[in-house]
Amino acid sequence: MKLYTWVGFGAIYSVFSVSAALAHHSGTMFDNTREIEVAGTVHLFEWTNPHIFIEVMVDGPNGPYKFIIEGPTPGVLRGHDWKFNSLKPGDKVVAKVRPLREGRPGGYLVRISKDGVPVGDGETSSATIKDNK
Amino acid sequence: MNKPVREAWLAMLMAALMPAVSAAQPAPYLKDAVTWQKSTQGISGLWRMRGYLSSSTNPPRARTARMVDGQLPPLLPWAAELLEKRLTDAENLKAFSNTASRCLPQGIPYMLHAAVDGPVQILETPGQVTLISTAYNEMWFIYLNQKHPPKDDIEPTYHGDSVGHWEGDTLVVDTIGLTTKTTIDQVGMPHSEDLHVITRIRRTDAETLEMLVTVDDPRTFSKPWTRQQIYKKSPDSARVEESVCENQRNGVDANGYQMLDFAR
Repeated sequence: MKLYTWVGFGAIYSVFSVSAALAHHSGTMFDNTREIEVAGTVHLFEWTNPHIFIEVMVDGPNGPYKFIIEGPTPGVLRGHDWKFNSLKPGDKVVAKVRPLREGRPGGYLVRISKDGVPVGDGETSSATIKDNK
Repeated sequence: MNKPVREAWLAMLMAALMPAVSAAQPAPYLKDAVTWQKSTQGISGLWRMRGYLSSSTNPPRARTARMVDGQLPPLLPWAAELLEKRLTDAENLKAFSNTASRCLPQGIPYMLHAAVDGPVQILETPGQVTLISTAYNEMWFIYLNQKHPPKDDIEPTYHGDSVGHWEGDTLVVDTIGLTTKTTIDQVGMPHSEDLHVITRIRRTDAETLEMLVTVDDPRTFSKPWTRQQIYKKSPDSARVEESVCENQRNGVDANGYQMLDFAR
């Protein structure tokens, strides 16, 4: 993933209020004050309720490790042009997530791109789905 | 029936059928949905809730249920203390485990304020109004012009016993028999088994549905109070999607708080 692409995204997203759609549990487990970038290969994509999950294999300094990304519901993501097959194992992805406060590598999905192209319409917030516009 | 009369009947029948056959057709799978959504009267159709406050950008204290005037409901001391404890716990990373965090229904009244996953569909049929929510596929059955059964015969449930009647263009729904497993909001505002909910649903314009949800629970609140919820009409192509809560990786820890890590 090219740095300038994310800089571009940042410029776009800073204009809008971006909030995720955590209806099913509190946001306590994630550090909502910061975002980190995760790059790797999709190991598992679960299009499930109450949350979707994307497990990404990341190359670390001590070898590969699994980073678990929780996302909104399929219902919210459908409103952002996602589909049940938007991701599949083997896809090269770069994601922005709000990291877990503690525990293993993981976080809450803010946005994700596959082969440099945003998945869906590039947003994940319940506040900005098309049906709400 | 003689032959000329029979032929006249056939001609009339054909004339009645022809427009339906020859009219421009929308995509077959959208035809009925478009018919539903084109209606500008009644409350049937697919509606999308507005104004949900996400927990990722709003702290627990900002997400308590609020009255129409924005104030906190008039909680009795025991309920105010319990809510305060739950809010303080949440601020210390011990988040209250509501039913949804355990893949259980949100129930009445909270589901009406938390339909964040997709549209709700309201179906008006003879003698009954049914609300089906995408979130958890919760269903609310409202029986028209009936009385509640004797209280002792009502099994406490997530959606209670609901009877309704029309007052002009407003559907007035009276709900009792609600389980205390649920809370009034996501952050844990409690209620008692005497919870009585009066929901007034009306279409304020072609695109807007208003719900005024009155909570009457004298063992929890010093007086009845009302919360407003606005819904907007969904596009013609909207659907209630299947939503099976099957993958809750971050449920409840051994102390009853929401987990801070994934379960596997």
